[in-house]
Amino acid sequence: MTTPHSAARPVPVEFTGKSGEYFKLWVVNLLLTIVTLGIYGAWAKVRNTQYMHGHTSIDGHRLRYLATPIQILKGRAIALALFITYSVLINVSVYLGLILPLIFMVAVPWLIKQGIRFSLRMTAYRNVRFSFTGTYGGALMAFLVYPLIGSVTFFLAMPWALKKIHEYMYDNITYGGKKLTLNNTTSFYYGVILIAMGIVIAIITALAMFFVGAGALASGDFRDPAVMMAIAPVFFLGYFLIVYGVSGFVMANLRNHIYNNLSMEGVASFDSSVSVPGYILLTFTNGLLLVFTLGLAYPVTQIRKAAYLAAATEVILQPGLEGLLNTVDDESAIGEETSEMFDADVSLI
Amino acid sequence: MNTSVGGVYVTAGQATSCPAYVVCDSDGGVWLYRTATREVIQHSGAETLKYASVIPGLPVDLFFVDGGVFTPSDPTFRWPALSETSRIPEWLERHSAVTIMAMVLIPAFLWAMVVHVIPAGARWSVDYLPDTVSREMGKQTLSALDEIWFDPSELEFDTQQQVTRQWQQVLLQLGIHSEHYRLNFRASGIGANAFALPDGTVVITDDLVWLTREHPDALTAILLHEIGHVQHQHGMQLVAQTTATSLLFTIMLGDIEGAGEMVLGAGVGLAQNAFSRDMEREADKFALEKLKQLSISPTAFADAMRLLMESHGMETTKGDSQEDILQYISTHPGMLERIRGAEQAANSE
Repeated sequence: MTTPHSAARPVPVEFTGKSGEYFKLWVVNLLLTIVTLGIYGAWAKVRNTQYMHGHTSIDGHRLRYLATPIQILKGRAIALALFITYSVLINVSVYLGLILPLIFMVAVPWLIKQGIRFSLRMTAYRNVRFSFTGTYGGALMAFLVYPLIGSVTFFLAMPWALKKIHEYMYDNITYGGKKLTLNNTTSFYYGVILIAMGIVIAIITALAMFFVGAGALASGDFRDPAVMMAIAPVFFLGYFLIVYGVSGFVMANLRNHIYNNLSMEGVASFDSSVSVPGYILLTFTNGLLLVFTLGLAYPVTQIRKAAYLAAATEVILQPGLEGLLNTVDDESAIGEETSEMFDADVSLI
Repeated sequence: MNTSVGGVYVTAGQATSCPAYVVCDSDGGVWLYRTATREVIQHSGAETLKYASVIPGLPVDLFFVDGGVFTPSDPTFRWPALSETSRIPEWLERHSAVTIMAMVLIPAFLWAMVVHVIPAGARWSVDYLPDTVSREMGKQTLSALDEIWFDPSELEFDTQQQVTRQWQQVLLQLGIHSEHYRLNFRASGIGANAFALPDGTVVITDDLVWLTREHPDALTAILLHEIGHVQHQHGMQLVAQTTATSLLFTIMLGDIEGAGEMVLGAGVGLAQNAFSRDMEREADKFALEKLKQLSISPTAFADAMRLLMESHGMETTKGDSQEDILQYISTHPGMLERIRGAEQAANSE
């Protein structure tokens, strides 16, 4: 039909969303959601996602979000009914209050799995939908067992756990019946997280030394408002360094690692070059925007993030893309829409 | 005149695409042509066509009945066959006047909900809750408190008897049916304190009995305050209010994350503490009125507050500048404010 591309060719990911335009869309949808006591939220969710997906294009083709508001509304109604039952039961009886959270804990991996599946199946590129083949067993391991192992080993196993979680999330994505493969390596996770911990320890040590010094000077009752006011800026500086600096360092490195080791045989591979300072600056300025607008700048931060990540991403398309067939039908399984509430999206770009 | 628009056509359920253009009939049907050869790919009547949502800044996809999709290259192009209603959301989302209106109405509406509608609803709904709910809640809460905070009372039997008689006397004189009310004694590390549970169970700590040994009227004042909570059904009201508020915010603002959520959460928390303070004031007012009815001077209430402050290591003579700041994050009104209220009530006799 078209001129078939015979060789692999790198194409950029283009993001054309505009802050002002999206802000206006978002804020109007928020108003409609609030005055309808949340019902319009299903429409708002679809329109917001359609805007973000539609403004993301690869090789001239836009991503498309195909979920219908009614699907989302139905799922939310079920989730709401469950939530009300849950809170009533938990308030009425202390014993149910002990058992129900356990049941919930076992159900969460299933909900996350269904949520990932739903958002992928509702995403199409060139008329072919994504899907997800992860199992409940896999989700149980990824979202309950691995994190548990990570924490009982005093976080020694956490980098490995994180690697396994990413493996579950990305290695099970399919497109047109073909599977994505993620070749992430445990040693990379350990390397990044060890460096990050080193930085955290250095910051905390520096802060502790400062506070001991300041405490000695002020002959130190930290409950005294005057002392509190004096040390607060330093405390917050340390806090921001840790939250934005260290998490930015980890996120940028892991994102690059994941995308650079992600591929679909004969169809596509990816190239991600997120720079650590650039990403830290992005998350930090986004944080400031949120704080100073009392959260109103949320849509603007979404656009800025999407634009930044798109610019740092390249897709290497291979000839196998042409002629891929859609293997996903319109039907969605029970619980998929319900778990959309959990927002367990795997961000594709 | 027939409208014509260029774009890209992607075949049904397949990642194959070609440049194409569409010519619209006057009756809503379309002709789809391949750009390269100018040959007709297909002709479809209006009734078989579906249009994607109309989103600002995005072209509107045209879905053919066989699953093929045509995307106009011009993002501002709008199909002549689109209905007026399908374009309303986009119209709202594009107009700055609507944006500004939304930014004013969103906080106004949230404020009205949290400050007026939900508390009124909570007040109204507790009357319709069956007694079994509050009884069950009282029972469960007490057993939970017993686990965490309380130990069996170490008071002598005579002392317990004496206080119980005083309590029954108060209920009798005020004509309050005592079948719902039960007075419990507990030892606890939290010091002198008293609690009212929704079902009429009132718990006083051993420390409180010892503290008010020389001041029986002060103990009466505290007991009346707790009875006030039960009479006004404050416990159930607070539960209903908290549940309704968190529910509403989850439904309405589920899509907001991060700092926005934090700001909103803090706002709701502050509003809820304000209600908790209002309830305390209501219980204080109840106590002061009933003291007069029992021919006890309201100064007994002020004495009780002073005793409590002293026993908890607070200075009764200090100015209340610090109290003013802390007021907004507190669940109780300032002690000094409560003492002044009691003294005013005593003077107005």
